[in-house]
Amino acid sequence: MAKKQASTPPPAPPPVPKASPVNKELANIKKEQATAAKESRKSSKELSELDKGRYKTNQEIKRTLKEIKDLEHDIFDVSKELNANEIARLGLQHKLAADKIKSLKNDQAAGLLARKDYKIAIKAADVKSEVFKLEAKALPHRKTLLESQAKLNKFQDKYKDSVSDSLGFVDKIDDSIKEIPIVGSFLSKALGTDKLKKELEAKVGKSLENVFMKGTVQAKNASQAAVDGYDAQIDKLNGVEGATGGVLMV
Amino acid sequence: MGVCSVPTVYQIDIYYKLKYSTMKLTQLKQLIKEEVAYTKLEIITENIQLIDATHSRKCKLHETLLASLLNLFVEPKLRKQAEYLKNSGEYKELQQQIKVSADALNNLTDQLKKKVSEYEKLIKELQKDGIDVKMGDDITKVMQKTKDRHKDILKKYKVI
Repeated sequence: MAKKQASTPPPAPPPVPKASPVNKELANIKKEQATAAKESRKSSKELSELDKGRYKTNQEIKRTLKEIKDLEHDIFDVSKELNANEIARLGLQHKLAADKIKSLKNDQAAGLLARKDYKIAIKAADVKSEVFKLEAKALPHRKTLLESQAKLNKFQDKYKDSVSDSLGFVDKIDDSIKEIPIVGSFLSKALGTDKLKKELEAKVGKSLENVFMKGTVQAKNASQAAVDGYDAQIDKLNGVEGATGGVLMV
Repeated sequence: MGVCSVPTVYQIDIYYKLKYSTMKLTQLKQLIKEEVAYTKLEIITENIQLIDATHSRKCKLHETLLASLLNLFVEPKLRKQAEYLKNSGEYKELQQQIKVSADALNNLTDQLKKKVSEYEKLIKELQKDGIDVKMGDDITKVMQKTKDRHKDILKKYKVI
């Protein structure tokens, strides 16, 4: 799977000017990524130290268990004639070894749990480091999409202005009719020239929707959905409440 | 209101002016003309209001018809303008840029989703082991809290 992804890399983002805010943000992401990688390396070293300690404990447990076994052998060996003092000494040694085993077993369990959590934390640091790498790749695309939306808004405004300009003559007709003494206002209403521009705008807008506006709105929605989907994941990563997924904006 | 059925204040005023004033005849004639015009204006306004109320539906019909007629001339011109805008290099480039960046960002979001989900599981596992960590914590904090939780054994083994 990884090989397949490597063979079809995502398209390169457009170049970004050196002193742009994106570069500053990118530098921050890279810094965070470096910190995560450093934490992972540092903790991996500590984990190997922990494993050394655990190894020593396990060896110690083995040695102590053997010691206990030997002591028990001595105590219960009928061929040996032991006096009461010797039996008491061996008994005390056995008790101390048994206590030691108890303590070592506690260390063994604590070491095992610490190892497990260390492994999880190191994995978390690795995943976070990979997340930052993805963030660094995504940042220019996110920026491009947000800028594109602003540009699309300008195109939409341009289109609306051109419609409004082209229908400017209707206002002039209406103004001329209204200027007729006494009956002007009535005629404007009767002929409907007072509302004609709005009606024409609606008619034109409807019939030309597929030519320009539909594609523009679709592009805006696709762009917004991509940005929202990405932001939702970042919010989730940052523990922002209510982070769910992309929201379509119409 | 009927024409001069009840004398208006203005008419009474003219009547007294005719009777007692020392106005010149031309001035009085002008006043009378104005009064006639004023009365006519009132009648016309009343009639317009009446027509407006009773024939508003007809007016709307005229509007639609007129708008449709004008639309026949206006639409081709605006269609041309819209096509020009749509086919402009800048617009096409922008659409292409959006497509490329949206595809790339969606692809990265899919990868990110998996990583975030994996990270969330790891954090939950740490929480289960009694380590007080949250999704929003930075990784240094997560590491530190993990070490704090096991500091006794780590100190014993001289790890920290």
